[in-house]
Amino acid sequence: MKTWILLWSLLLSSAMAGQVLVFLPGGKKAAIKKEISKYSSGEVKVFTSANKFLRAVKKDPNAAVVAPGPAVAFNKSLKTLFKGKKGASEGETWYVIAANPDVNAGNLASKKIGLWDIMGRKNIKKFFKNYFGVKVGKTKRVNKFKDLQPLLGMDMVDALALSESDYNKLKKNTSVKLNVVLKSTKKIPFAQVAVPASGTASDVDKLQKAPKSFLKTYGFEAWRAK
Amino acid sequence: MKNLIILITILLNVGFSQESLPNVVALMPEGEQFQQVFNGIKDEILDDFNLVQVILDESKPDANIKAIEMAKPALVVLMENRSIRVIKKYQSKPENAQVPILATMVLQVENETKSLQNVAGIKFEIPAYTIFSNLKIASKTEFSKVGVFYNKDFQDFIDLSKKMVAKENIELVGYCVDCDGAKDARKSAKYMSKVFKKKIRKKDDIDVMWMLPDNRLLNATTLKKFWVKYPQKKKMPLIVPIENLASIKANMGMMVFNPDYSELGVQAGSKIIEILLDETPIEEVGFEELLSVSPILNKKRAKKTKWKIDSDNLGNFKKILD
Repeated sequence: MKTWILLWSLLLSSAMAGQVLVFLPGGKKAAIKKEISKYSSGEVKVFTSANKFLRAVKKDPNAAVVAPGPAVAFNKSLKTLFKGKKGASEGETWYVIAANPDVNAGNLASKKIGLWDIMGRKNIKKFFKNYFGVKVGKTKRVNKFKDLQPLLGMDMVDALALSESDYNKLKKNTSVKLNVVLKSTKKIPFAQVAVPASGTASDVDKLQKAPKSFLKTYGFEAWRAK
Repeated sequence: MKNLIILITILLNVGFSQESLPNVVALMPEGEQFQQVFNGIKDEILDDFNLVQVILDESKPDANIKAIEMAKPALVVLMENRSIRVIKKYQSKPENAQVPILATMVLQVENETKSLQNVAGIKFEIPAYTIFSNLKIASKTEFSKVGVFYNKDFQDFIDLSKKMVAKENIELVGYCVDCDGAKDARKSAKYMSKVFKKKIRKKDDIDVMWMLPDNRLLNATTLKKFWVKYPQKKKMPLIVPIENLASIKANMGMMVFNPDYSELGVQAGSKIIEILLDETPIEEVGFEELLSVSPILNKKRAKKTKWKIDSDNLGNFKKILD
């Protein structure tokens, strides 16, 4: 029985070689899959949840990935090939913001922070330590940008962590006065194309030609080879 | 026979799961929406827990209890009001009373689960803040006054809703239907008609109305004698609680906000992690608002009521009816 399962797993994993795993938080799965399939010879799988994406990467170590910078950066088995860029920048500043003036950088560890999950639950503490230089306590993740506003508006969290462009969008949508509590110490990278650290890059080269409409969904304008 | 099937399902679930991980049991009725919630929970907790499904069989609560006990759960997720009776019986054994319960897809969840011990939950009503902040994003028409009819047992919900939407400079104007004695459907329809003519359309100058999911105010009599006669015929923009009322055929609701069932499961999963991994005391976890919604727009009705939709934000709708 065990041998049979082993053989079956080997067959499955070899059949899956050449897959492209795309993690697009908040994106429309079917449309993105159709678009990216034009620029990839491998089978394209699109994920809108960090958990599912990270599990798929673990399950198929031969797959190429397209994912937000932190989801790639925290995965040691991946090697970046192209980085998303906007103008001269390869990432953007993130903020921790709050509506309650009592929330400040000093007491953040005792507050609950909400964020759009682009890195997976188990990477959150690392994310804050790496990009903000702080330790955080409780966090609450959402899989859709539009769920951030009710999270803060209904007092389910004390603060939100989000990118500069998302902060600008949120400010447009709400009448609640928001304060910046903390700024990231470095820019958080846009999406990247990565392959297994030990693998080759040949069949993902075409992804560089992905149309601007796709890049825009990730918030940048072009790829830059690493 | 059904007993046997339930037991086999549990055995299969437990048997094929990763034995080193603790079990979480989901007691749930059969149905697509329950399954979506189950899948959402699974996605969130899969790395740390096995999720075991027990299908609710109201005629055989003891078989359900046996199935839950066999899984030796670290926590039980209770879905829908009908599961409460089974869990109450399950908790009557002292060895089960300490197992934390997470209730979801239960209307009036705090009240309904009062008889249970060790319980936290996610409310199933769509919060006013979520509805009207989403409406603001989707609309070019500016609005500041929302009208709502309610019965007095919804008073706390209305008070909280008023406080929440005020943050977005929206005034929620509530009209209590049974406070002045309108106890049956006919009297409710009469009261609502009077208020619509004298206040909603005149004195209070309401921009949009919000219909609550309360069958005392939404039934065949009130539909015929009030909702069709006034809000529909007088072209009042209306947010409805049921998808059918926002259909092209019904031609009544401009928008409906349904729960995003898959994300509700993820939200429930994060509560399970809070209770079991972060070890947050259950009373501190408490009852949380439902977070994620799937809005549907009846574009035809919006046009009829002269409500302008922001075409740049149509992507936020799960479905657009035209």
